[in-house]
Amino acid sequence: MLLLLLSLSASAQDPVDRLLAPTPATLRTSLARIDQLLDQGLALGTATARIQNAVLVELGPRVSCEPTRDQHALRAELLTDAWWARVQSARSELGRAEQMAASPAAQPLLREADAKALARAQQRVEEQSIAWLMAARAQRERILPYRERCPTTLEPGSGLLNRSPASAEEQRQGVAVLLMAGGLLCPDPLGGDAPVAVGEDAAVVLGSPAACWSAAECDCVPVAALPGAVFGPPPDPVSP
Amino acid sequence: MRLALLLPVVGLPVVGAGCLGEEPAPEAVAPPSPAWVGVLELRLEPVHIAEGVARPEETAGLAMALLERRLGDLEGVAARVEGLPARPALAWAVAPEERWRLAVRVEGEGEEIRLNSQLCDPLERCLDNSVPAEWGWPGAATTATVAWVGARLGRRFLGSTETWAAPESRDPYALLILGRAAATVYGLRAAPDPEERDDPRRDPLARSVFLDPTMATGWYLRARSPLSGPEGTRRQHAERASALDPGDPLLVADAASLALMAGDPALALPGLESLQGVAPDDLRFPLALAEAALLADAPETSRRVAFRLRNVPAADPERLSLEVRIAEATNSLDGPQLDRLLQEWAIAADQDPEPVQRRVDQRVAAGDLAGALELMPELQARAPGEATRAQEMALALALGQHERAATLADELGRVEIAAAMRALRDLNDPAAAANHLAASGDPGARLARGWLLFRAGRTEEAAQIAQAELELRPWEADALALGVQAWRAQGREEEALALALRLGQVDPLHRLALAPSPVAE
Repeated sequence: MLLLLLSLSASAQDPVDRLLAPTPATLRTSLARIDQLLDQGLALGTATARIQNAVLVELGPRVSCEPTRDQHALRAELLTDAWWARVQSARSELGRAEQMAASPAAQPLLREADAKALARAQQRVEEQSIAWLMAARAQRERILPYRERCPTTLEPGSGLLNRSPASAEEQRQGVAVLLMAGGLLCPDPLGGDAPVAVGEDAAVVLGSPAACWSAAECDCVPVAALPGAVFGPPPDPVSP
Repeated sequence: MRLALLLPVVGLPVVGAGCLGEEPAPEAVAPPSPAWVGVLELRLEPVHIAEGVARPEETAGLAMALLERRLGDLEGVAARVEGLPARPALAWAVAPEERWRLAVRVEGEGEEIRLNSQLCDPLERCLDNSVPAEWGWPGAATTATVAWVGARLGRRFLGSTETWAAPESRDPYALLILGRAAATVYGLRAAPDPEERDDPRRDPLARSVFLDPTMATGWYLRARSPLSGPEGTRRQHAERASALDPGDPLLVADAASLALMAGDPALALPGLESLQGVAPDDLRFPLALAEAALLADAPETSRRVAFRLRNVPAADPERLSLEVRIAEATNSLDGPQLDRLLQEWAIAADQDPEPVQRRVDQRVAAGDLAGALELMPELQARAPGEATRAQEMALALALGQHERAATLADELGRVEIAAAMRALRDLNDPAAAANHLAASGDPGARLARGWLLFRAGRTEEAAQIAQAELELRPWEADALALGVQAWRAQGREEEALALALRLGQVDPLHRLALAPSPVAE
């Protein structure tokens, strides 16, 4: 399955400049991208954990298909994939950053703060890689067999509230949600004014606390987004 | 000002407010008139023993030890023994404003001896003094000599002198070994071999306090000598000495300085603060206090001390260095103020590359790369070598001065970097730029050449470079991206798609990647 993702494009730095003569500024841009990817990864990790837990607490060898659980199992898969994309891209960017830091063109101008930022990025990448691997294992070994027995397609639905109070870090991080293709996400999930057209199903991390999905114009009312929610077209009115 | 002196009047040059910017809290405002007692360095020459004096090494050693200890108790006097590092208490003393010299001779026959001293000012104008001495324990004679020096220098005693004359031990043999230990410390006698150190049978330093552990001078010598072990151990020796002679504030300073040297500023702070009560104006100690406070996460205390230090002579590199670090820790200076302080430090320490390097770093941090580059000749003069050249090269490169950077790389013998700089210089002509990199063995340069050829429209060569690189490094994202672009430009979508999928595994969010699901596949 292919999953195209919104919101983050790869490092926009000119590869020639970066490969031949990185500067401290180039390195800092790279480290900022790693941070951005991992911040999003953190939000996706939170959403993945909540949705996975919702599935796993009910999952047994003979459990039958059930619509809400089917949805959660699918959401968990999409969120895990999206999380992996962030972590893997962060690992890739980290490789570039390490090359830049070692380059004779940049190295003499680097400060202690740069070295610390690089070390922090290395640590964060490692931590999230391990966390993702654990989630991926649960997904592959326990949820995927259920998914194959109970296939479904994505439908709009709310996310999951954590019953325990959010930590300060959780409060700071964004909210990872899923978007269904064919509409607009309102307002701009990255904090801009313009809504974003959703070309394909995607996982995003919202920059604003509330959002809504609209087919053509942003005439919807934004609602508070919870981790793992699916934004999409409202269900068809039930026929009398 | 308490510098009524022997010959020329020694004055303390007073500098105006430095460049510390805004003043700290009201209680920290510098006093209107400076009350500091400047540091006078007193070079203590090795005690000369005339022929005929019994046990010359031990006698000289003991005289040296007692003189050094007691001279330290004169306010602001930094007694230094030629050829030896200063005692720990003086490690943070500000630069001396004058240098004097004291030569002592022990003359006499057998045990009938005298201490003859000569004190010389910076212009080598000298005064003589002579006192009778008791062989075996010249405590009274050294006390009288130090009192005479103090009177000449106009410096008061900080501690109590009551106990100075009495022998530190009732055991004459212990005193003899104490003198031998001192002779070892002051280089008048060979030090024991490393395997003999700390062995009370062979090492006089260990033996003296083994024979009589109540001798403060024995513990002082152990604290003073680097041969006695690491600073942490020596600090304990100094503390023992201080406990045995609580009237000697310099022993407190020794212990505190050794704690600071051992990386334990919190342990150093109480002693240094207590010295402020005994000798608040003595310029041998405030730098240590400021340093300890800074390292013990009390930068405001440090800053208060440093603020008061603004009244001391400006040209003290240690003080200026500390002021810089305090300013950095407290974030109390803006960029130009810090630069001025660094400049002041650079002038005071005219051979030291550190202040210039810090100015460079500060300008780089502020984004003033051109300003940093301007300082390179000065840095090169102080720290000639490859590291400075490499720094200059990086600055030139960051400023887009590619030819200058290339020339510096040539000078450093870094051919591939020089080629890279010239490729960057010729970026407007990608084919020409690629030519510079043709012989480079650097993987980054090889890939950059591929990208340049791609830009020049030579997509087939670019694809070949990508393929060759992928044979060496199959998961190299830049090679995969180059391959995707190059194959696609040639209309070979199948090859491009294969590489885009592989790129998706390496860097799923790369704009050229197609990302698979790692879970579902």
